[in-house]
Amino acid sequence: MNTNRLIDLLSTNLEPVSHDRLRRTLILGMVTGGTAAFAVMLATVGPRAGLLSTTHLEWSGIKLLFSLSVVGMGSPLLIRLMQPGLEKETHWALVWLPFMVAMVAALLAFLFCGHQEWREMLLGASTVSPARCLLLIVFFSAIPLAALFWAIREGAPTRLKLCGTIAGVVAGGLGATAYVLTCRSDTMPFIAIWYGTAMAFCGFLGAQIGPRLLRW
Amino acid sequence: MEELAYDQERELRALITAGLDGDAEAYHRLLERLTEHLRAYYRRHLARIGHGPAEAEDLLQEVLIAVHTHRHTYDASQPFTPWMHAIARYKFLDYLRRTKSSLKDMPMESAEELTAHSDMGAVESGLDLQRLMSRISSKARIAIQYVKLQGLSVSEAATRCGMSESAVKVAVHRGLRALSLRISEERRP
Repeated sequence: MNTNRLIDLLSTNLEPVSHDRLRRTLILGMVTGGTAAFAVMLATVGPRAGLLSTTHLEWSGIKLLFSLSVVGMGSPLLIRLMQPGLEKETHWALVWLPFMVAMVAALLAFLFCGHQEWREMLLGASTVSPARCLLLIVFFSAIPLAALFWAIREGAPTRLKLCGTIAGVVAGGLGATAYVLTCRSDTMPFIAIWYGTAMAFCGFLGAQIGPRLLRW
Repeated sequence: MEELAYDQERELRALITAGLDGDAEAYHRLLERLTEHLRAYYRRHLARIGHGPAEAEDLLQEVLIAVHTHRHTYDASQPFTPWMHAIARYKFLDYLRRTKSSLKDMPMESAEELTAHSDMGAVESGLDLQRLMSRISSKARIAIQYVKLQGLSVSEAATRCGMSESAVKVAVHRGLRALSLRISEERRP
């Protein structure tokens, strides 16, 4: 094939492109994924009892602050990673900032409580709570991850592993947001460690599948 | 040298900006200018792994299609050369992976290296457009045939295909993406 012919082909009937297409696609992916995660939560385990009582509402607020700040930190990074040439100056470590803040808060909670309460703070409502938290957050994150990957494929990521990681963490944040409504464990160490681990694990999964699924 | 890079950046950026707004003439000019730079860039890099000008031309054509189908990822408030360089470099590394070539000493280069040289001598690539076209969906093939090869307007093509105008546009876009994927598969051992 002659390159000049290809150039003719590509510039024939050229369509103008809208400048905010990437942003809109990513938002659509996040809204779709988040809604799906919420629907899966309602259809499977359902919200916890007494969700609307005052103390539980306060704890839910703290949990949402954590999961949504992960989403809020991660999504602007994703937009940048979808655009070639912007990835170098992206401070991608910012996505871990909410994790650090939560860990510091957890350490403070440990310090201000006696040894005898540590076990309960770590395990949450019951001994199966950590496992339930990990499994459900990862489970709820599956559809958001698929939706985010779909959106990222509209872009042109050049660092696929990094992009997969951040997409995984953001999907984990959306999954954790859905999980908040069914979470029965109201302690800071529980939130920092188990929510954190689950979201970080989603990032790990994203890093594994990113290079294969995000190629273009 | 620096001034040259600056002038080139300014020229290319003006062309892409007009192209994104639908100025076909500016866009055509942009692709021609990119071809000169990318051809020199890929010939130089491929020579170092023992691949010739025909492979460089394949890669160049794949990148031109990629630039076209991903042109919405260029942010007009940002400089153009780093965008183009990131794509050129990504496709080169992808090429190395696909052809299982290795280049241990691929240096970290600056974006200006892309526009530092240009090379006019064209060669035919080993790619056969008709054969590549036969390997994408028939809907996309017909849409590309009408809109991109015969130059019919989108609305004429829509009437002939019995599709809506937006369906034709989507078919062209997906078809071009599929073509660029087919090209990268061609070289897989």
